[in-house]
Amino acid sequence: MIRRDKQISISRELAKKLLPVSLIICLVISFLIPGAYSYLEFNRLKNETSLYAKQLSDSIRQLAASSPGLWKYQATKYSEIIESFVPNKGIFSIAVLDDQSNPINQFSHREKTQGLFSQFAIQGDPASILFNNRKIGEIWIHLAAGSFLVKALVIFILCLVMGGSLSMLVYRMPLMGVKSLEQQLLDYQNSLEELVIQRTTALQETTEKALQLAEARRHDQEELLEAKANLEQRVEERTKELQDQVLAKEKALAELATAQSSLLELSRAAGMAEVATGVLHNVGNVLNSVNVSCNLIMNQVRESRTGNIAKVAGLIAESGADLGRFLTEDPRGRQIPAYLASLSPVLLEEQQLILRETEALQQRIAHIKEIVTMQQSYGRVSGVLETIAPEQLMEDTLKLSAGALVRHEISVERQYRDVPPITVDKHKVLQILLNLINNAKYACAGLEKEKIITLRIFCSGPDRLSMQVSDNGRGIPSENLTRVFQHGFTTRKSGHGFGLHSGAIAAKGLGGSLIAYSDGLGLGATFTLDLPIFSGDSA
Amino acid sequence: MKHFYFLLTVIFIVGGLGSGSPGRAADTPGPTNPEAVIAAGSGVNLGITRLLAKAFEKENQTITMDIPGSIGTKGAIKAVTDGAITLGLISRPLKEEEKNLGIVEHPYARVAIIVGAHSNVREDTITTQELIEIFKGTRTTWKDGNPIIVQAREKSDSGFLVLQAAIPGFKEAYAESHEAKRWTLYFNDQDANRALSNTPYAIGVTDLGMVATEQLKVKALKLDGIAPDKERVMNGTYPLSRTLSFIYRPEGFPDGAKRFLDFVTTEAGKKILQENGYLPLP
Repeated sequence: MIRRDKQISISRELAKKLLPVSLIICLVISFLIPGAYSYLEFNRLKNETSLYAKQLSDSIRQLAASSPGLWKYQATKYSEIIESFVPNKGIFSIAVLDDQSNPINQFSHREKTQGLFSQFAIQGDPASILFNNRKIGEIWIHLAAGSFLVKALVIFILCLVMGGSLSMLVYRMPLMGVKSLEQQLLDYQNSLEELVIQRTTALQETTEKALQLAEARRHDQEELLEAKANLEQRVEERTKELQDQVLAKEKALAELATAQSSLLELSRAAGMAEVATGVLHNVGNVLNSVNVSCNLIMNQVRESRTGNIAKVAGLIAESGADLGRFLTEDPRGRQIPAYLASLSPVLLEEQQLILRETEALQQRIAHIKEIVTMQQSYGRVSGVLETIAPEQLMEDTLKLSAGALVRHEISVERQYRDVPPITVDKHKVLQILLNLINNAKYACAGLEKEKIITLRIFCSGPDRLSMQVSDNGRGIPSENLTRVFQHGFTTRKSGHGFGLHSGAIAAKGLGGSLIAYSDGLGLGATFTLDLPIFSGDSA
Repeated sequence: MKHFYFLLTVIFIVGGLGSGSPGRAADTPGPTNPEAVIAAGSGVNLGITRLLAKAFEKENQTITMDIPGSIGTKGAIKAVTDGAITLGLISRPLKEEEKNLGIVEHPYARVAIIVGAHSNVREDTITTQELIEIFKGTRTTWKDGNPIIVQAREKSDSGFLVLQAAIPGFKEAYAESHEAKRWTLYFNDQDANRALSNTPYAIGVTDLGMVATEQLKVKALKLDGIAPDKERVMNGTYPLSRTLSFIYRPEGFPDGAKRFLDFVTTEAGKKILQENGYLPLP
């Protein structure tokens, strides 16, 4: 509080010093400037008035000189001179006096007598009317002072306002600045004190917090150590678990490899089974024909009249030496030549029939042999590369499926291009193609329209060829185009779901690929086996 | 402050100079002198009056005629009324209110007012329309292309008053030219005549009497083709003319002045008038 009183007294001292200065400024601006203006303007107007009087006196003097003794009787002409002289000069009044100061002519500007300050005028010096170096009269002119007074008053008011304002500024501004600085100093002092208190408090709080923090850190450190121990234990456990998992995974992988191998074997076996099924089926068909031929031969033999020949031979034997008489006299003997004669063409016909059926039987047995030979040809252990014409591969496959295709009334179209022989594991290719044709056969099952399987062979690129099996059957929806190659995927009730899967794997093993294509349900499907002209079995 | 003052002015009460007491010209003898006759007034009358006075003084050695410069017709009326002069010279008839001032008017001559041009102007005629156009400021050159220089008079000049009355439209044109301060103005006849005579291509208004008595280099232009000769002035065919008169106060009218008036009406006086372009009146 003591410091504050001291500061206030400083501003008061300043106010005491500023007061006279501001008053002087106010007085100077308020009165000196208007006064100077008024003085200068008044003198200017006064000089102007005198000048006008001089000009007018010159004009009147020239007229008066013609008759100086009677000059004052030309008042009318003076009036006209004055009338032409007055306009736009701000003249309030003009008086023409003779040498005795008696008025000869006078003029009063009536328009200037209206309005504020209109009654005020400025009088200039009189101008003498001289003749022969003798004053015969004089002219007095008064200028209207109204406009001058109004201007002076306005300037005075403006200067008064400006002076007052400026003096107030001079007085107030420094004072306000000092007071403001005082207040700022006080505020700053207060804020400093508050700041010290706040800082002290904050420091104490910080110290306490630091102590708490140290305690907390020590606690945290202990917890961290404990956590570290736990973590190490968990890491150890987890490592062990991971090692177990790795071992299990390796084991699973081994099992998976075994399973895959088994699957391949199974697939191969399945393929072989399909081949065997085809072989057996074909063989069965041939055996049916064999059976028919055997039945025919047996029936022919059973019904043969060869026994009657034995009876004839017995009768002949019974006749002994009396054969002639017997043949000629005996009624039975007389029938024998005729009977033998009639028996000969029948036996010949039987012989022909049996011979023909026997030949057919021989052919069917040869057919069976051929089938068996082919089966043996494809049934050997795979992995051996052989060079073979692709058409022969396709036709051999077709032969294995021929019976089923005929039974299902499926016609086969062939579109073979000229392609070079292919060196390949033909057993795997046969399995793949046989599976594709079987699938096509099933896809066509139940169709009311003509069932067609189209087989194509063409070169798909340099050193590559494609073998294609298309059908016009039920087709494959787009979402199933990739799934058909998945293991276990099948749409047939009796399907096992690894035919296409193993086919794709086998094709990949041959360095090729197996691709499915269909425009959708009811629009058929096309499977393309793409192979290199020369392929090694990588399986 | 010594020079800083405002004059509250109700300076003069408007009043006629006539309200003042009669006075005398300081440098002229008073009318009571039987040997001296003062005649003053319009500048129009001055030239011929001086010629008449000169002839009169030859016959009357005891009488002196004093004829100062122009004080105008109004000045003459005022001076006669005041008794400042014996004879007043006026170039227009007295108005009714002036007749009531107790003065007597004595007309003695008539003279043609002319539209005069400097002698170097080639044209010798002018129409009233051309005259109006000149004073309106719309016609500024003579027909030969030289500029027209107008020498004008104050509004109350008796010659221009006649023109304003006689020529329709001229009054308005003349007043408008005064408002516009278009011309140089001369406030007495002699100044105006001198300016007209001395300024090439000038035009102005004067009369045949002043041209003769003041020997001016001015030629009278025909107005609408009518020359200002005596016959046409008398019969009114030429419309511009004025009557010159003496005025005086009958009471105490001096004998010398009376004798001068008589001289003017004598044959000698009439002869002087006629020789100088005036038409003597009976």
